[in-house]
Amino acid sequence: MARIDLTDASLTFSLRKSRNVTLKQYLLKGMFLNSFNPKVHIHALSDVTLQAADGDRIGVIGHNGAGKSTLLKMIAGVYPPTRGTVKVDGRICSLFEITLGFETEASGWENIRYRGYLLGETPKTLAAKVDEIAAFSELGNYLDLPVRYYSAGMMIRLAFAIATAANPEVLLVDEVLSVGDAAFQVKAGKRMREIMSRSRLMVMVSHDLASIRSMCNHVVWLEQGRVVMQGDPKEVTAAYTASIAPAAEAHPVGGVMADDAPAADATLDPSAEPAGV
Amino acid sequence: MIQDAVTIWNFRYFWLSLVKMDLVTRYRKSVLGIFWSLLQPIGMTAIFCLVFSKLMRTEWDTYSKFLMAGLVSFGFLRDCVLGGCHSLTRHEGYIRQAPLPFAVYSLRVMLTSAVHFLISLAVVVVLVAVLPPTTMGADGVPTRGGTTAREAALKPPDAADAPTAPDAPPAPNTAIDPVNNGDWGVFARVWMILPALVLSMACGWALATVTGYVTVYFHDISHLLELAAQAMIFATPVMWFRHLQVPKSSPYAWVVDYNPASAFIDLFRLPLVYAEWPPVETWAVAGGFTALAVGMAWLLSARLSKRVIFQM
Repeated sequence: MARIDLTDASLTFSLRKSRNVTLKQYLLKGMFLNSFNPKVHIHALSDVTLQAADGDRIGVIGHNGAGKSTLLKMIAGVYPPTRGTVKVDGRICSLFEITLGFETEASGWENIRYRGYLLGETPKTLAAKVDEIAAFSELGNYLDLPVRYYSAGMMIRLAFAIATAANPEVLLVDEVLSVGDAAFQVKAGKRMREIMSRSRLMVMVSHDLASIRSMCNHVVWLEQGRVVMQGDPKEVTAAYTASIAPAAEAHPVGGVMADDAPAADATLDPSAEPAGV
Repeated sequence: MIQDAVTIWNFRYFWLSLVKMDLVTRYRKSVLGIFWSLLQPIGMTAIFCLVFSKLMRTEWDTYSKFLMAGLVSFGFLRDCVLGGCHSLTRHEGYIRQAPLPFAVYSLRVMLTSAVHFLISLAVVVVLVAVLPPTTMGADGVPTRGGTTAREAALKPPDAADAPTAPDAPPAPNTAIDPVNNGDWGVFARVWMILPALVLSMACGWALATVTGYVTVYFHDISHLLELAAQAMIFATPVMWFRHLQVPKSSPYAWVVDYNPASAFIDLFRLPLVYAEWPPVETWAVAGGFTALAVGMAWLLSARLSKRVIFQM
C-alpha cells in the first residue's frame, strides 16, 4: 500500500551570503565568521501537513519559488525535513531532474541498466523492459554511443523512457515535461498519462490548472513555503485564480505564462513602469 | 545502520554495474586496456628497483618482491582515500534523484580500487613464485635463500627485535626451499592474505566514506591528502627496510610502529614474500585503525547524511 504522511514538515536552508570564503577572510575573520558572513535562513517549506493514500491524485500549485518542487523532493527523500516528519510507504518514482546522473562515459544501453537498477530493478525485471525502453527512446544505434555525445534532447528522451518504464507505487511529477520534438511530445504525453494511471498514488506539480482540475482529487496551494489552502480541486484552483487575477499583470513571475511578457519588458528598461500598471 | 546495510545489499546490481563500468572505461581507448592494471605496478616496481636496489644494497630480485608487495598494498589504501574524496560530489546527480545510503558511492570507489589491487596482488604472487625464495634475516633485511654471510656481517645487536618473536616457532621459513629456483610455495599460502584483504577493504571503504563527507564541507582536503599520501609513502617502509633505516632503537621508531599503512603493508608482505604470519602488534595496529576509520565513517554518516545535501 502506498501512503504519504507529512506532519508539520518544515525545511529551512541555511546558506552563507557569499559562498566562497577566501583564505584571507578565513584566517582574519574566521572566528567571527557568523558576523561578517551571516547565515541566511530560507524557509523553503513551513509546517506542511499532508496525508495521502492509495488512489489519491494530489496536485500542487503556486507561484514560482513557492516551494512546490522542494515539496516533491522532500517526499522523494532527497531533502530530509529540518522539522516535523515525513513518512512515505511504497516504491517511489520521481519524474524531476531526470537528466541528472548519467554516466557520460558509458553507452546508452549501459545507462539504461544503471538507471534501472537505481530505480530498484533487478537484472530479471529489467531484461523484460530494456527493449521497450530502447524502442520508446527512438535512439536506435545511438544507444551504442557514450552518452556524452548525446544532444540535450536525446538525453531527455532516454531519461524519460527509463523513468517512465517503472511500475511506481508513488509517482512524483514536476510539471509536464517538455520532451523532445513535437512528435515525441505527443508520444510522451500519452506515456505520461499511462504511468499516471498505473501508479497508486501521485503527486503532481503543475501550472496547468485545467489539467490539475481534471486529474487530481486533492489540491495543495503553496505560497512562500506555506500551505494557503488545500482540499477540493475546484475550490482551491478557483481561490488561487481569484488571488492572482487582479494582480496578475503586476506579477513578474508566476501566474499565467502569457503574463510574463510585461515583466520581460520591465527588465529591459528598469526606469520604466511595468506595462499595465 | 542495519537498514542502510540492507538497502545497500538490495541495490547491489546498481553499484556492481557501476564498478564494472569503472573497470571498462578506465582504459577505454587504450590499446592494452585492463592489462595496464598488470603493467602499471610492474613498471613502477621496475623504476623504483632500478634506483633503489643499489641504494638498499640488496639483490634486485629480493628487492623487487619486497617493493612491489609494498607499493600495491599502499596504493590500494591511497586510492581509497583519494578516490573517496569525490565519492559524494561526483555522484550528486544520483543523490539528487534517489535517496540511497551514501556509503554506496564510497563502496563503488573502494571496489574499483580493490579489483585493481587484486590484479596487482596476482602479479606479486607470480613474481614471488618465479624469483628465488627470500628469507627475512634476523636483521630484518630480506636475503636470497637462507642465511648469508652478508646477514652475519650486518647483524645488529638488537636482533631480537626482528618481526619473528623470539618465542615463536622458527619453523615457517622451512616452507621455502632455497634449492629450487622459484618460491612456488607462494600459491599454497595465498590464503594467508585473505583476512588482510577483508580488513583492508573494510578500512578502505570507511576511509573513502570519511573523505567523501569531508570533501563536501572542505574541498581543499583532496589536494592536502594528495600531498599527505606522498609524504606517507616516504614515512612508511614501502621502499626502505625498517630494520636498517629506522630500527627499534631509533628515535623515529614510532613513525613506523604506529603507522597504519606500514601495518597494512606487512599484512600482505610478510605472508606473501617471507611466508610468515604478521605479528600480533601488526594486526592490532591495522585492526585498531580500521575500527577507528569505521567509527568515524559511522559517526559522519549518522550526523551528516541528512545535512550533506544542503551543502551540494
